[in-house]
Amino acid sequence: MKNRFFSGMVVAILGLLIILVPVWIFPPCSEVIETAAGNMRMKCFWSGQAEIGIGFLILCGGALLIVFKSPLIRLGLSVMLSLIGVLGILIPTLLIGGCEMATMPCRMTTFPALIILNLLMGGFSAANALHLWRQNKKP
Amino acid sequence: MLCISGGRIKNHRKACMDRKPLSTVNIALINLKRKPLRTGGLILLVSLFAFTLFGGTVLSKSLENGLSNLSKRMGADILAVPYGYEADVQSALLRGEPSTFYFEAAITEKIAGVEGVQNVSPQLYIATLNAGCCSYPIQLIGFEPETDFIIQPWMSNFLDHPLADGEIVIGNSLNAQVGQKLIFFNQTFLIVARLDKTGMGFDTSVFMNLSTAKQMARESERMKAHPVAENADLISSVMVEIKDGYDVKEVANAILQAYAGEGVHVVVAKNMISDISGSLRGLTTYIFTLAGVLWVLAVGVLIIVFAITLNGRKREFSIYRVLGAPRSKLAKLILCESSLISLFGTVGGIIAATLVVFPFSTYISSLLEYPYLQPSYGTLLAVAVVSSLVSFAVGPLASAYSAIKIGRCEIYTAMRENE
Repeated sequence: MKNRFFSGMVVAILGLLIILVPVWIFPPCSEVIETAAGNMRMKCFWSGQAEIGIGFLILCGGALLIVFKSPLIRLGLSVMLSLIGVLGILIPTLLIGGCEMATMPCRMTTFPALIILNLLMGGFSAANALHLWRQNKKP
Repeated sequence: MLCISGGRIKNHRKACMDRKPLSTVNIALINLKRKPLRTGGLILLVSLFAFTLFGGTVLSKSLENGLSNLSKRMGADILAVPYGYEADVQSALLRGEPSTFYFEAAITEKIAGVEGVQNVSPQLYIATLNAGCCSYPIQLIGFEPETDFIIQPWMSNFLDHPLADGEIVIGNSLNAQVGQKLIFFNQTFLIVARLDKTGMGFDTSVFMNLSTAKQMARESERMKAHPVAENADLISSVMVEIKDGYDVKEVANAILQAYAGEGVHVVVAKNMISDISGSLRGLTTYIFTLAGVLWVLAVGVLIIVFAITLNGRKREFSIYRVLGAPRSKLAKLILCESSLISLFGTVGGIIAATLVVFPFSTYISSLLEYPYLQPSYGTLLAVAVVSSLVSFAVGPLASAYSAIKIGRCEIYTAMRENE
């Protein structure tokens, strides 16, 4: 019970932080680019939006880790969460990206914070999965 | 047969099969697990110290490195700028803050005629409105490739021809490659070179020859009135290199006396660097004082905690002795517990500092507003090793007294004390 609650809470808090980073803690660049087709938001804004979704998914995953008692379900959830962590890192670095200049708010604060949080969450979930798997292997 | 099973010490053959051996490290680990709050608090204290020491040292080294790079690469001894814009040229140089200030280009020749002046090179600063890469303004700097002794020595790749019209050199923090094209004010420019990392404002600036910069100013006129578009004979600053044997201050005074009436003011590079150096000394002293206070605090708290818990654990230690553990084993156990606390705290603190100092280096440098250049990997590794050793020493040092005391304790007295 203690381990279940602890692991679920850690994941849920990290998920909440992933949501809060682009929304409130370190918002990405808010400026719009003027083009012939009208005003366009910068890439980093959409990276932030995607991370909000990922954060919500992680938050739910954390809650489910607390709710489910079966170690196998929690093992599956932890593996999934660690993969979501990888996705969370790939969004600002590869899949969507952000501004080109290193001194832009997204590159200075938003992305490093998101990468660190996703890294911590992914690493923690992978460790939890390993722990549950080893526990499950015991006779 | 003694062994550790399910987090407890057991004396049963069946329970001991495939279980952990009863080594000092394993017993110490169990003892630490038994008091999670106390262990967590002590680990947190050591990690706070390790974080401050490692993070603070990297910060201080990066600022030192940035400053030494600035003084090495400044090139110019004196910067001549329009009167009232001395602070602007410093913020453009140190932080790349887009600035626009101008005076007559003829001043370059006049300064070249002052006694003691060896080289002069004009520069023209233009701030963009919208760049192709982003929508934040960046500093565009026009320079004269024939006379320049500031920008070209910093180029990371060799340029076999003077910078032609339509060609640009980009700062190291701009995420574009040589051979790529960038658009400013609806004009396409070819990137022909990239500067080395400077830790200064030049990292976020774009450089071009004077005629291209003037052309860009004319293009920018469509969006916003620009003084250079109205008068092509304007420049922003003159970089001055003095001859050997001449005093910088005397030459600067001579320039000031001769041309102050024409709105010229001078910034002596050495003074600028020594001002920054003074501020950095204060910051470094603050960081190391904080680390020192934390170290003393960590050692002090650990000494108190080990001394207090030792009294409460005398019975436990007596049982170890009754079970056949020699005195040295008890001393080793105390040292092992404190070393494990130190180890976990050190690793945690260094990892936490690594996750803050490196990914957020640009943000930190923008907050500090000083030249910031991370040291080489070798220096960083050396800092990490020294910080780890100093931080790790906290535990064994703090528990040494308790370890010696428990080694001298008699079983009978210890057992009776707790009755």
